[in-house]
Amino acid sequence: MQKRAFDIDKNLIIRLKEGSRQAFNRLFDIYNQKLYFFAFGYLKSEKEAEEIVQETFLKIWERRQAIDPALSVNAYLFKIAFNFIQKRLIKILKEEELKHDLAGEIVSFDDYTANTLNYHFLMQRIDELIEELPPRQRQIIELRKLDGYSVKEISEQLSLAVKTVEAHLTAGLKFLKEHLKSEKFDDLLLFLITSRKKWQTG
Amino acid sequence: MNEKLNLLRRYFGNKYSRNDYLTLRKLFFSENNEAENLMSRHWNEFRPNQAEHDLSEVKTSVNRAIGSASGHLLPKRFFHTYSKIAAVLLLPVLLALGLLYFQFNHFLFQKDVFVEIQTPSGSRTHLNLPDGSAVWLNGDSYIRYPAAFSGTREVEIAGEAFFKVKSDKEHPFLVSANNLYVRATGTEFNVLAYKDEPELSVILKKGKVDLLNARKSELRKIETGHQLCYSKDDSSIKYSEVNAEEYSGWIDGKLIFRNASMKEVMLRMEHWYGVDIEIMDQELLKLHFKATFINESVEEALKLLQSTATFHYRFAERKAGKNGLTENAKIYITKN
Repeated sequence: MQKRAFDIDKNLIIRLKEGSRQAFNRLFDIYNQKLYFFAFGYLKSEKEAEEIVQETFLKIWERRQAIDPALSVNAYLFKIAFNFIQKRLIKILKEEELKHDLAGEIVSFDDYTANTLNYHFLMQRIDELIEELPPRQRQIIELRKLDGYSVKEISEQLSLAVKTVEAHLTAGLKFLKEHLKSEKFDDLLLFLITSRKKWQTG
Repeated sequence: MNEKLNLLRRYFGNKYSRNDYLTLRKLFFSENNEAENLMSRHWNEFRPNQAEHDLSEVKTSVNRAIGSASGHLLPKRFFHTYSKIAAVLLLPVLLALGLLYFQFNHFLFQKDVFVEIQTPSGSRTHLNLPDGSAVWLNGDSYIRYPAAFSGTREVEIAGEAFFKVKSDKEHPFLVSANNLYVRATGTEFNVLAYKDEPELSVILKKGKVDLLNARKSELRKIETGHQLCYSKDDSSIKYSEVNAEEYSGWIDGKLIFRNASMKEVMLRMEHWYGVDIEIMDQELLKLHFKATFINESVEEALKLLQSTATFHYRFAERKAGKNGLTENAKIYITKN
């Protein structure tokens, strides 16, 4: 018999503009979970997502006097959060660039696999396999393929002959390639836009 | 545009391909506001479906920071510069979209090209059909339609969809779900046809539709403001007057229950949030609920329901399933 819509009270916004901490905390209570899980979905880290919640609400408080009560709180909150999420996401994407080059090197992707294999899962497997490498190979693969150092720089850093570094590199890559080949990637993704002609085999 | 939104959803759910990843990277590296537009659409439909994450420490530290610092407005010139930048960016985006539209249209002109869309549970999507009719797909739903209509406009769905059909008396619009057909010429109606539910229902908001059987002969006419329920078990039909708003609220992000049984509430919440719910005590099935949810997380919704009836809920521990895919969150409903 109770019917309650969880609509944001316009009153809340007006009170927030006036500097009411209570209104601010109420807003926090209403949106913190949605914002947290949204940020988590994109940034894939609890710590990052918590930081987004923190930064966003701080900014909302800082800019409280500029809020337009006619606008939806949902949209306003997103606008503020987006700037923080975007910055973080771009940073993460840039940091991981080399790792994705490595993936392309180990798995030669064709049109079909590039579109259907569960890539998230593949990248996790690559992480796991790198940890399984013998320590020297792992070190050299990481330095060369994830940190981007040249073979020469690595040989100097580790006091090894260039040929030795190259040998470890080759062995490591071979290990990764072989182990990935034997995996059964039969996770097809949801969401298909299919043309009956396109994927016809034979 | 919808394809890129689906891309975001896939990335979000950790079920994306390499090409998806590369496209996403390009999307975020580009200097236009395409990413923002897409993400905001995702935000509007997003509802958390997991057990609460404790953010009390964040709340405390924010309050501490606010207490000490003196809040000040951003300098006025920030807003002025921003609006200039927005105008300059808009033109290239419009051109790019225009090109995209022509390429897309050209490719899809063939008649035997079909478009299939499957939505994950806990989401909503909106799309336009080749004749300009609009469709909203609820969570865990599916639609299949030809890239170009010729003659009868026929689409196939599973799950829940709300249609706003463009009027065309020459070419009736046919929706097939579960071996039945809904025929309309220009109307607004909701079709509920989840494979795991025992009933198929059609709710007519505006206009007139007909229900047809598998051989496309008429079973029943449906009037505005009425619901027709077809039972898969015994092929019986129930026809009743309803408030159509209650059944189409979901397209605006509202989950509405009016005297819904516990079973119906939990089934619809499963689709809405993308969770698995198990009712452990039979007695609870007798409960009925009336509520409207907008933007609540699943836990908030459960708490609100608890304020009108006595039951308990418990989230099962989240574990990674096989192949590294996480399964849906699981909730148990008990008496106490």
